[in-house]
Amino acid sequence: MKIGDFAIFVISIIVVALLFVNNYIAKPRGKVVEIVTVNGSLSYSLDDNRVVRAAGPLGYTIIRIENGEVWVEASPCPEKICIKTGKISRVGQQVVCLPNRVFIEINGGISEVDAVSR
Amino acid sequence: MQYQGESLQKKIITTAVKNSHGTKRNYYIAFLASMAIMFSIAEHMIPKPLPWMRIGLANAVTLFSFGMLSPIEVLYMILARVFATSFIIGSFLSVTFYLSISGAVASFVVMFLLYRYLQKYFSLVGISLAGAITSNLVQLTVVNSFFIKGILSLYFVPIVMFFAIFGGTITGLLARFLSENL
Repeated sequence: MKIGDFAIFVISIIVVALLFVNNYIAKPRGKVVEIVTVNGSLSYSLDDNRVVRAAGPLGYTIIRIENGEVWVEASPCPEKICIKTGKISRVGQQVVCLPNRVFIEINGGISEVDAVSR
Repeated sequence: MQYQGESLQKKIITTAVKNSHGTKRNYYIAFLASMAIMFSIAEHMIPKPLPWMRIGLANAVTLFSFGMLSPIEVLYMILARVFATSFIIGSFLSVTFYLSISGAVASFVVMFLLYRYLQKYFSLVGISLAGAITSNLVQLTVVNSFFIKGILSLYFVPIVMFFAIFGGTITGLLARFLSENL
């Protein structure tokens, strides 16, 4: 047994493990993002790239939807926890900004319309 | 003296094939192919949970003959094995046959390159593992592009690769046993 044998064995085991987690354990990538603000709730499709300006008590939270991922780009809140949360793309993941009262969650449902306001 | 005689006896096939010429060499290629066919048929008799799950024991003979034959002779041997096995099993020109020939040729290319240029880092077990993974991924690609288009192939990759690692290691150990003892 030489070093390459162990290398190829370990690499292939890691690849298999990662693919197992990705294909069978991890939540699927979401279809719809729901943005809840003080003014109500809005749903957007994750397939369309767009920038959403969500109004809150402190000002506007800039939310960017691009390539199936959602993240907060700019926020007027003091601690910027929502920006540090980073990008989300899978069903059930959330970004929350408590000071500006913005709540973003990804759902798996299929959106029939571009945006729905309730 | 007795020990020397025993070690000479031990690798009798390897030395005989290496030093053979002409017609006799063709006989030896056919002999190795028949050895591979025997492993293939024996493997078909083992009950398997999934139809595409293979151990690839015939690959051990390929690895074993790398040390004795030139690459083109090994390729002859592999093609003879694939055709003869499909005649015996009855899968000639069926999906199984195309999968088996594509996997065999692709894994031959990868294993030969590793054997020729990277033998410093890879023993027979690692080369066999690489060959098994290549063969399985190529078969999956062939299924995906010619037979069942748009099947969830990425969905099957971890299962197929898991069995490839399992089977490749067994085949590599068998190849090491063959090349050390025959």
